[in-house]
Amino acid sequence: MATGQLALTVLMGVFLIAVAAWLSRVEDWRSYAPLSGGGGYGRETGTAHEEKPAGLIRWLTTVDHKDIGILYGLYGTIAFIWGGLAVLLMRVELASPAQDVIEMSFYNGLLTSHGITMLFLFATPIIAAFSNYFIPLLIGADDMAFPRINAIAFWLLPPAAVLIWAGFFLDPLTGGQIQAAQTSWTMYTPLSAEQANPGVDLMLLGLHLSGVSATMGAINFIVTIFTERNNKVNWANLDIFSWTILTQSGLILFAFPLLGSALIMLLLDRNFATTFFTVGGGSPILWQHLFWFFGHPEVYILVLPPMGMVSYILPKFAGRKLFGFKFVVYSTLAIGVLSFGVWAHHMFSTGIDPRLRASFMAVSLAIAIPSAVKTFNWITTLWNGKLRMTAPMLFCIGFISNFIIGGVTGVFLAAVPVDLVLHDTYYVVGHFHYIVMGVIAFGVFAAVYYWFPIYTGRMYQRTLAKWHFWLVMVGTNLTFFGMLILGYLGMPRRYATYDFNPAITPMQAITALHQLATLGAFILAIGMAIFVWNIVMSWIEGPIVEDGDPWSLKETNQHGHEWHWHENRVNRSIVAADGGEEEVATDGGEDE
Amino acid sequence: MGKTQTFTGGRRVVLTIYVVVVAIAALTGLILGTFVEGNLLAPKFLGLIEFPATPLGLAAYGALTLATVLGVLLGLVIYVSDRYAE
Repeated sequence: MATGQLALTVLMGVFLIAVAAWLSRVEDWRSYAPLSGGGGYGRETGTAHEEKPAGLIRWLTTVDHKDIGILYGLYGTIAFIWGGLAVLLMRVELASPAQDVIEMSFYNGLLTSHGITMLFLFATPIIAAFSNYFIPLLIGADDMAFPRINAIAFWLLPPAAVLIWAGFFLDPLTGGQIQAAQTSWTMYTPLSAEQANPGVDLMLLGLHLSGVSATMGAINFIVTIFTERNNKVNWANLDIFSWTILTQSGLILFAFPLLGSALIMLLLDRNFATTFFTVGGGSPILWQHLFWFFGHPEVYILVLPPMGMVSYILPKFAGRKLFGFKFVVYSTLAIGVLSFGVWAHHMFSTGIDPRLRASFMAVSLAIAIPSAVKTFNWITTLWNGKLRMTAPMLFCIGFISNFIIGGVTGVFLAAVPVDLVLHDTYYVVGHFHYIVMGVIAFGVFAAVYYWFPIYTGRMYQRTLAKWHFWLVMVGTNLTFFGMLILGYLGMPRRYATYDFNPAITPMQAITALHQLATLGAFILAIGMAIFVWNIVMSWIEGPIVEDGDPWSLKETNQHGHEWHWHENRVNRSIVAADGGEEEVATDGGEDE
Repeated sequence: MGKTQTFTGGRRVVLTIYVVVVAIAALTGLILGTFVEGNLLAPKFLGLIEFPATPLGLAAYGALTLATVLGVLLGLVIYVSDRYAE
């Protein structure tokens, strides 16, 4: 046995050396080393992206912020598909009260995987996809401040995903010895400390790795925005998306290291008999304090950049500048600061001191104010605007209406008496999914369509994009509105089966609402399938964009830095090619 | 170049969102009133006007409450838009 393992180790070593030797032979690394021309604090990095190698090697070795942005996008999309398939299985199971499709332990694994995947492997990286690609373009920088760290931050993510999902793959290989983690994404102790399953350890390590990645990225963005801005870009005219990424990075810098520390303590509890979070000698409530001190800012880490995307994109199709730009920036900063003062509203039902509860309730209600300021400014921008109903605009409007519903339901939850009734019911699930799917994902979709001509050089299919919007809009509201009602009726979270006393809660209504939610989830899935198809096919064979201003932004004086960059690139390629291909039909809001 | 553009009035879109969100509040009241009839307390609009604990009563209560809250905000939007260009 030991000899076999030794042989395997040697074999792996030889294999890795062979791969390294092969890679070193296929390219002359130094010919496109990013720092070959010098570089350093506040100066040009001398990055020479013109000499990129071809094929797979380019993607494995790139330090170009645009390539890394695309890698983040691909990664986020794969994670989104994984998380989406996981929840479809769960929704199928929930379509009837009994356990009739999947094992309960598998359901719990899917539940955990769905939450962690969507938050850490989809939402955070998909935002990084846009920030990596566009922040340097928006602020007129050559690249990120630390291009290599940028690449390292991304390449930590694939192993993170493998570790987080490892239990699913290892379960059949190990005869059930290692299973998917079944702790829920909150990893509440003592459950998460006491589960013997090594899959939990793998998941915790993967999560830790994703946190390291996010922190490295955040440091890079902070330094980039502070030091790499073009002379013409100052704090007063810094675009709103960069402001939100800067704030988000600040939140990451304080929140993620705390999660990392708490995860290490949990790993120590699990493997080295420490007692940080145990019932005897430690405190499960301590875990909740640490977790939510990270966890609530995490909500804003995820939602601020999409808010920035919508604040940036919405005016372009409303034909006028963002109303109250300064106040939108102030509200971003205010949310960032307040987000660290609301964590205990996740713990109202744990029996913490009533005075603490009251103060956290006050701060939680207060955070509605800057959120309302943003909504107010978006709607005021719309009010006197001449709107072009393109796909990005539709997603911006969908974002706002979903945010109103998600926000209003959140205000109720901030109130202690309401929370005590609705805590751990589907109402909470409905509320935060309105935000996560209805708001965060909608902002991302708006950005995907808006910047599609820049990162692909082509235009998407407009009709399919509108199908995508309407299916996702209907699916989101059907699914999560159903969950809000389920919560009012007392349906608890996290269960694979359900059974109610008909005298207290009508069982038929619960089942019908679950079926509606399942139907909504499938409508969502169809919309997403159309989205992926549209993006992939349009990327391959969509009409080439030869217009430096495909959205006619110059008419309203809103042609941003990234579109200038795009225009220069298009002009260069036209001069080089000395001829054009077919002209693009832009999504200018014309009748279908 | 396919740049022929059609425009939609911003006011129409905002008012549609307002109506839809208020309608969702009414729907919520209607559904809750239908499913949990018998276990409900009569809601009081602004703590003053009591509505009956029936599906329609709850729907009216929900719609009126949200219409008022969002209406105040919408009124502010209109007020500010008329006075400030940006």
